[in-house]
Amino acid sequence: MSEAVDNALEVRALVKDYGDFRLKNVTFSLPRGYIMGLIGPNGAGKTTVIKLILNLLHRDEGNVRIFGLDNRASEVEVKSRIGFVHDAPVFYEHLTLRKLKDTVAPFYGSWDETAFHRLIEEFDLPLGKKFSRLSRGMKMKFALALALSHRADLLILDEPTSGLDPVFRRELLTKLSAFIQDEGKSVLFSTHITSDLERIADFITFIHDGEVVFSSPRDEILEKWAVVKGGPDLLAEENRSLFRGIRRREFVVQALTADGAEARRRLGKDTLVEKASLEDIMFFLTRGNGHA
Amino acid sequence: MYRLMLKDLRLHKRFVVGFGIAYVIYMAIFHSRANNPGAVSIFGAFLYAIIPLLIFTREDKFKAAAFNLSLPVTRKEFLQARYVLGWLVMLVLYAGTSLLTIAVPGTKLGLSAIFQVKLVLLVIFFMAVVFGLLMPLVVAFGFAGMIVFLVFIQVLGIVSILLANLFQPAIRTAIQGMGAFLGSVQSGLGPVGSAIALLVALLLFSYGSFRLSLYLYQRKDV
Repeated sequence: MSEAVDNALEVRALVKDYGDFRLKNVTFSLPRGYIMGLIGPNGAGKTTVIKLILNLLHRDEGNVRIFGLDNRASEVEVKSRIGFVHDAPVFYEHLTLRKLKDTVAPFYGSWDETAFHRLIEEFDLPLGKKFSRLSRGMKMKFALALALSHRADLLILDEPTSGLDPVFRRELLTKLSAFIQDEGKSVLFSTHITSDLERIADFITFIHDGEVVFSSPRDEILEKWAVVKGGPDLLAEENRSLFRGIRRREFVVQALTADGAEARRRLGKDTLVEKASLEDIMFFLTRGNGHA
Repeated sequence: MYRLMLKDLRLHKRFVVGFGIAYVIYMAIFHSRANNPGAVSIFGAFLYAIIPLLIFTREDKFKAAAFNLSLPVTRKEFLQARYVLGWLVMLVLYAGTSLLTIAVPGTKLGLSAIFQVKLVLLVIFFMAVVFGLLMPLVVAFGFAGMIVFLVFIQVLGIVSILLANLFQPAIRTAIQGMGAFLGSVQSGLGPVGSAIALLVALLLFSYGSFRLSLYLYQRKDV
């Protein structure tokens, strides 16, 4: 089997230029059977990447392959295998959930009516209610029920947990973990709530200012990256190359390194080197510019 | 394509039925009182073309473009469905208005007056032109595109009147020349040949409109 077919999603050198914002050569791949978290601060380009994957935006350069198929040349087949949940639900708000389901279902040959009703019951959704009258959490649940009811092989969720209460966030994460238990199913999940990803993601792709900073297995990231804490002498010239972001207060310096082991070896016992969380990494890479 | 057309009809059922019925009744009464069926038919054709476009611009209202294009369909299929649905709506409105016009008590128009071949072709001509010009604008700019076009038509009308006053002899000569050309084409082809030529020209124009819409739609970000 070729590499292309083993990956659920491959994004190569993707470029989109808005004039005031540019997505620059975004490249990453998601193997089948895994969950990837797409993280980055607001405005980093996460939604743009997701919309390019779905061909909702016109790309300037690069290519996107889903299950080995080009997302534009094989658009119908590719979209039949994707379940998509937008950051803001985009359904016709004046329709009831039942009518929305009746509108969507005929487009999918693999639509599973039993699965849909099971999910509706599980999520406690009122099919006779208009979409506009649902809370944000319920709208998200409905979008998820639709996405899961056509037996999608790849789920793409854009900020599904933002604005949701912790109970539903946990339910959703459990649902996603259960989804990939079925071999060959994969999830791409954008968020800026990094604690969600530490729970369930297998891979993390970090985007900042339109560029991929890293795309690696989560465990590797959490193992390698570290936060170094020490006095001002930490910023000696010979140490600078270790650091990817620095935060300086009057007598304390905190810095992020992509090589915790090397930092421990080089800086000795007097310096505190702690494992970095995804939130630390995101914070230092976007705000850690050397100033307090 | 059928699923997409059905989707649009289902989503906008109330709008299509409510607006369509009201419009057909209004136009039929208006038509039945007219002394000049040709002028009323042209006015009607203009509005027949606007109504399906109003349906399509409702996508802006509900911000549903991302939803529509997340479905497993290509943009080409999506547009094909909209062109076919647009023509179906226009023809249903035209047929409904014409039949009701005959049935309105005290109507001045009979079946033969309404379904003259020339008048039918004239209506189809105006529907094709207005719909064909407006669709690419609606695809590219949504409701705003339609409004810009309508304002442009108004401005063009005012400019034409001003120019007509300033350059009356030249314009008269140009119109007469065009009329003479069309007359010679018509006499050369005969009535049936001219009608076929007109329909072929409209078909080509509609296809051109579709290709332009598709070009714009495939580059549109939603």
